[in-house]
Amino acid sequence: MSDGQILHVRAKLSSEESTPEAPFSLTLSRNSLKLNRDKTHTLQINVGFLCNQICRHCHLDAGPGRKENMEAGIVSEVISYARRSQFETIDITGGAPELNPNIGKLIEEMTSLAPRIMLRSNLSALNDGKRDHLMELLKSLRVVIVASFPSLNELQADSQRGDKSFQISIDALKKLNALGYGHNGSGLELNLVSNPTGAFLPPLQVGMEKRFRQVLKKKWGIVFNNLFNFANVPLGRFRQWLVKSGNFRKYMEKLYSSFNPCSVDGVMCRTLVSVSWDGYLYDCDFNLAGGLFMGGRKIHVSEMPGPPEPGNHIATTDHCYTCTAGAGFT
Amino acid sequence: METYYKPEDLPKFEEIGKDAPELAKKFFDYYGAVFAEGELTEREKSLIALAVAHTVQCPYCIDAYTQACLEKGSSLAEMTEAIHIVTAIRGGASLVHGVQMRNIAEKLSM
Repeated sequence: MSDGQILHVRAKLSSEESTPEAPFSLTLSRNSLKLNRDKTHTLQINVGFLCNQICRHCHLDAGPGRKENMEAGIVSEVISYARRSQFETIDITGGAPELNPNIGKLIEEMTSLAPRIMLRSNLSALNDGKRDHLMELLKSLRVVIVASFPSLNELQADSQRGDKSFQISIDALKKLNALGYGHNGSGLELNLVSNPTGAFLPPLQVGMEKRFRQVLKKKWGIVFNNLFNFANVPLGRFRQWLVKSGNFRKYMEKLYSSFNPCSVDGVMCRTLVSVSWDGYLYDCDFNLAGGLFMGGRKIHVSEMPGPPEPGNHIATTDHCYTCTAGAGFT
Repeated sequence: METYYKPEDLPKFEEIGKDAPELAKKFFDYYGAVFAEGELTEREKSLIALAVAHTVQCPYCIDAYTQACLEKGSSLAEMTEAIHIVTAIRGGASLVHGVQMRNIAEKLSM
């Protein structure tokens, strides 16, 4: 490649990766808005970036090669933090949290510390043939399962999450239904998460939930409780794909132009604190992926006396436009 | 390469109202009302629009309604089926005129 060609490629990349018209903080101030904490009722625990899948929309770049995984000592510190903080909800995520060797202990301990425990699952790790005991544990402790299920279209789902992932997910959902999950009145809540399979925003949740319910029931006899439509966050592997495919600039423009001032009040970072595999605190999982510490300060979970105080500053950057686009990301 | 159709022209659509604002307002109000949720959902309307866009072969409309269909939750399989409906109707419209051809040919033939 000649110097001229290299310059051309660099110029293209630089233009492609340009940030939105206005930084997120400026958009907030232009709308006379501040993003501060409300009462924090949810502790999100990211147990690590190890995953059995390499999804193209992953904001954490999680995958089988990642070594970051919460060790037993940090698990104990996180449990102690939950004990002194009295959260309403514990939201366990990864990576694939099922692959963390301490996941059973973490879930068992947390059930006595908060009324609602959620486990985010890609379904394939949970149903890999080695974790029936974990499924039974989740059932017995009435843990809410929040399962990734991006699309009703097999080709599009596999394109985002890997070959055969769609069929594997269908099999896992059938198994969870057989255990009682997803049936009204069973007390076993099964929620699905759908992400767009590309550089576009998600549809409105109500219509999509109705459609997912009809199609999943008709084609596979699958039932679930709620569907959440989340926009993809321009971080990690998804950001790399956006840049490589020439979609980054337009996607950021779309997020920016879809800014909805009314969504700011309900964004999840106002009521959630996220702890990473190594015990540091963030305002959300996206700031964790972007390396933006809670309120801009590096604080370890062992130093925290309780939940972050209402009114505390929330660290923001341009990926925050994802959570304020359209109906918002709550 | 210079071309009559430029993607950056699509967002300029509203500029068409500069020299005939009242007509443009009537058109855009009507356009907005047509695509609002009614007896048909916004998703269904976008699929119809995508099919019509291919019928009138408008690159702007194909661009806009491909994105709209995806953002309203339609799958690529549904969108592809919609284009096949266009193709069937367009092909069928040609083929059914073969009846006229046959009528005329029969009248002229011994």
